[in-house]
Amino acid sequence: MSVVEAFNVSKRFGKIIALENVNLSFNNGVYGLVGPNGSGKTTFIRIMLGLQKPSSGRILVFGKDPFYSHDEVFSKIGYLREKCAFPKWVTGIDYLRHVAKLKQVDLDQNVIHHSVVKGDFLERKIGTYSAGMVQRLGLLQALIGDPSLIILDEPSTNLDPLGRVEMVKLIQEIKRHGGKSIIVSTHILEELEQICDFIIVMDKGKIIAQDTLGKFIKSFSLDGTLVNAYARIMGGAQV
Amino acid sequence: MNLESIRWELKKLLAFPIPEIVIASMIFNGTIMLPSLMGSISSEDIGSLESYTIIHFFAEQILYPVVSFAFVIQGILMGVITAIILPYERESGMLDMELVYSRNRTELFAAKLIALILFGIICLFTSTIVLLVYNLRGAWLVETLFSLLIPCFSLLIQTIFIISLNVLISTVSDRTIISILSSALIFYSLDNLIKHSNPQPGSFLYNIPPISTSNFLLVPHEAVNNLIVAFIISLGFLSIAFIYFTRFYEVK
Repeated sequence: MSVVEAFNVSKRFGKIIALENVNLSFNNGVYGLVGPNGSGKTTFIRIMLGLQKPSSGRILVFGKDPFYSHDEVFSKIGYLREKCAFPKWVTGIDYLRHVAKLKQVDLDQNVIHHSVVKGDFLERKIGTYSAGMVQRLGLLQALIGDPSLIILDEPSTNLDPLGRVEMVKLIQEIKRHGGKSIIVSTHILEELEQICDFIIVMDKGKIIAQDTLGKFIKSFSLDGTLVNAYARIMGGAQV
Repeated sequence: MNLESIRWELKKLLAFPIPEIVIASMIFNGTIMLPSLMGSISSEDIGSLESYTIIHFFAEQILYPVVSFAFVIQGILMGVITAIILPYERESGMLDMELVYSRNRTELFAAKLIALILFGIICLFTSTIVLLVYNLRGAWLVETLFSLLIPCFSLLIQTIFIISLNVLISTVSDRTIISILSSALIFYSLDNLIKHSNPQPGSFLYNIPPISTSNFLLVPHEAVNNLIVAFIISLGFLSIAFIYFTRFYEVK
């Protein structure tokens, strides 16, 4: 059984087709979800998380419908939202404790003291955080409870260059331990190239390419980079 | 039921900027009531020129209108908060995380509702107690502490009614501003409709105490009927909101 299986998933918002007959499956490994803005990446992620229902088709997460059987999957998921939003009036550590209690797990001290945490910002109220700190908190909360499925939507947004390097190291470290399915949606292909095993390219609500990173680059790139492969497959200028 | 959800929801509500105003208003109410509570105010005293001091004049002419006004403001603020709670969280993105990490939507809905009701009780009840004590020491008809229980109970129903209707509005509204305007429009229309269709004492909402405590005491049978109707309608609102939230609600 795959961690996530999508069968002909379509999603419409009125006349707009956000997803059209998407068939995908995710197992252990790091998956890079790429595509231009409005290609349907975030919609697909929201359907995976049970935040939206597909207009047609079916999606299973750990073999369950994430919308109707959320209680069977919620503790196995870690999610970093694009543009993280947390209540501003609590401290970072309070928020992490809250997520741990919801997931009914102990707050792992290894998570708190992870390399993405610089300084003692967790003791401060979230309202005082910089955008980068909020993003770091978002990364930390996504790791609580050692989830089997980690979904990171634009994880390096707002991070400074050093923060991005740390984020890449963090994902590499999680990957090294194995046994997890990590889905990363991002526009920063250079980072993706360092961490992902598989690439899925979406455009206008459809999957236009999916393969292992190596095969994808070999098939489409002229210079051996993911950026070039992506530009070519999207019909853009040679990079 | 994960109590953490309720604790968190209540913490969020109490940390909302508007409740700070409500709490300040409560403290203000309590503070301005002190002189009158310290003084001896009774119906007989007020009628007596010798004992009608500046404190009584202050209490009669200034405190009561201010307290009443503050009470209305608190009610409005509570209404606003309950009306915007879901659209605000959805717009800010916080609802995404709550839905992902909650065991299920039923638990999240229940946690929000319980927290809202507790918050509503805190908002209105404190103020009402102040009003009741003030009235008790002034020219009100209540004579025993036990007789305060009925208006307090009716206040609870009134609070549940306001919260239920606002939770429903909040659940089906996409945007915060739409939710606030819808809530204001519906309550204004409902209030006027009831006043025009049934101007007699005892009509629900407008005449449910403490807005009109004397009417409740004058026609208790009618008022009790209205409370039951209000409670049943509240359950209807909550049922629709619950079904919509758990079966159809999507984060866009």
